[in-house]
Amino acid sequence: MKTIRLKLSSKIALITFILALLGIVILFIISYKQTIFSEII
Amino acid sequence: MQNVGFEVDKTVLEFEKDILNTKKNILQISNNGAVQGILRASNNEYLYDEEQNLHYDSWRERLENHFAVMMEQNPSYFQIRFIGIKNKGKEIVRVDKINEDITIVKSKDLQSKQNSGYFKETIKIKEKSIYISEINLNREHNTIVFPYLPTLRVATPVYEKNKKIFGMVVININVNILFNFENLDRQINIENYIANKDGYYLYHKDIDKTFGFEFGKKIFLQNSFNIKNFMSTKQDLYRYYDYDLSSAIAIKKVSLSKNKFIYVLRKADSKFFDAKSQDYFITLGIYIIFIAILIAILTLVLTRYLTLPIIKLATMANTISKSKNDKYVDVKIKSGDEIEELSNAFQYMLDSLYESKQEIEEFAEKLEEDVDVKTKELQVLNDGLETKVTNAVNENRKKDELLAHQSKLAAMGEMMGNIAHQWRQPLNAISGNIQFLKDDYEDGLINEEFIDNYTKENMEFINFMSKTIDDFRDFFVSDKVKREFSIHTCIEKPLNILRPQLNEKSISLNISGEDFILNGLQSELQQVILNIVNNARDILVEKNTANPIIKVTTKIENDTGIISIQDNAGGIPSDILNRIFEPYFTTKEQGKGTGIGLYMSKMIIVDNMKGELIVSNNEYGAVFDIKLKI
Repeated sequence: MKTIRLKLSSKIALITFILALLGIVILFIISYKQTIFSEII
Repeated sequence: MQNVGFEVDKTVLEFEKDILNTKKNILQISNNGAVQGILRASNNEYLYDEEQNLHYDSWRERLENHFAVMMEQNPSYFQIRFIGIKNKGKEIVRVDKINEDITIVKSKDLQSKQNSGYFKETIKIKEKSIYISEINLNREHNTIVFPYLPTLRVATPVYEKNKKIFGMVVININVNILFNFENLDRQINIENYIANKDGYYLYHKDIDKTFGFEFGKKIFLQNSFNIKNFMSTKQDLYRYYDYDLSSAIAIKKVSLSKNKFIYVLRKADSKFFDAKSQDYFITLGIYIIFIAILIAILTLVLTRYLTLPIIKLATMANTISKSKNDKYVDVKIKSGDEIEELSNAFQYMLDSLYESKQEIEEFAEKLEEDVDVKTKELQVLNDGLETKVTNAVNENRKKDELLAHQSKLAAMGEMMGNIAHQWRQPLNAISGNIQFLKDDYEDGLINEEFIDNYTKENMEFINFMSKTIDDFRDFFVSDKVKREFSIHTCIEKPLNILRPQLNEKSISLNISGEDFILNGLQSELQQVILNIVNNARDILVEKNTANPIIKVTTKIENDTGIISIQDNAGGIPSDILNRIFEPYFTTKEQGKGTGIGLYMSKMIIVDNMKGELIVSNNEYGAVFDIKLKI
């Protein structure tokens, strides 16, 4: 199995990006109902 | 899809803004110059304002115009009035809007309002305070005006300089326009309800229920929705899901004044949610893509910022590792964190390394100089040594030559003994013949025949002696030229000299095996054979061996001629077997052996003849094998 070689900066960037994206998606999903409500009034 | 929620929010916000605007407008009217002019003129017996030189009616006219302009600017206003107190609550100025037409009401049509609720409430409040009424249907002469006009009244008292109340300004607002009810009706999948603070409907999709309380119908908002708890709290907003109706309900308290408010309730059904969800997810997707790009850029920038010192350090380390560290390098990084500490430590190590390298280089230079000095010294010493070694080698060679010469002399001595022994018998015979020659003459025995016999006999003796000398001479010719010779002839010549001596000691000498031709130094090989046979003879005599025998055997094995000389003296003790070829090693008594015979033999065979001389023991005694290439 080949090992993917990444530079330290790429690793940090990738992890941060994935975590941030994950966080935002979760936040969006959690706030879904709330957002729908806020559409009403 | 139309963003209903936003529209309604906007409506609510605009409603609140309009209320606020109206409050400002009414305060502005109360301070208006025309109102103040009316005040001053009213207090004059001729209804004349001496301050501005204007009559009461002129001020009225100006105020009417002002009201008309304001009504023009605010579409929701449908009535603005200035009402007096002293004249029993009669309207002083009144401007109406009927079917979009602004009408200034004539003096004769002005009414007294002292029995109105808002009149009674407004005269109680302080200067610059504002009264806001409940929302109800507009009444004229205590009768609800048709078409129904939901009305909100805003009023403020007007005080004289002596702090006595003079009158009030009242603005009637059309709530239909304020809330934009027509818009609310058109909304899809959304139901809107507006109720006053008691829960009476001010707006309902069923027109009969709108303002039902004005016609004695007790229909409440809280009867249709689960909001009783909310109504009893001070919360402004409440949202809940009604699972039975599969809808979401939101209710908001919209403030009119300090203690007056209305409820705006909205009910969204499942269709609304479906549509909204679709909208939401599309928006979500767009947002996520946008945010992802933003995060990616931010992450890259941040990571670059974070890892730049490490990259710098790594690059420096890499450069240093590839360079020979031959110049001072500054790797300090000012990042104010652990990387700075790391770079400092690295700098320290690098400095130490640099210093160490300098020291090593200096040391190496010094060492090089030392080595040069020592080398020169060694060179001098070496030059001397070379001479010394050459001298020692020469000396050694001389010693060897001397040894060889000694060995030869020893052999010669032996041979001389043998020759003496050989010569003794013929010499005795010749001597006897000579002694008896005179007697033979006197006896007359000498004749020709006698002389022939005598000469023949003595010549035989002399020939024998001559042959012995020839053999001896052949042996001692210092022959350094290689030539071919028969191995048997080579062996027999020296052994023939030795044979009488062996016979004397009753030692049998047996020469056998196949003859072969060798190319080499014959006399030297003879010297070796003689040495070995002599040693065998000595040991056989010393050990007094019964039936002593020396066997000399020759044979050929794979292009190698082998000469084996063996005795039956019991062999060489194993502890000295490896030492017998050493120089000056002898087992013989002092004076009898020099210890150089076998050493010289080995040198002759190995060095001069490029062969092998091997010693071993068999069941009878020692065996010396001389192996020579044919």
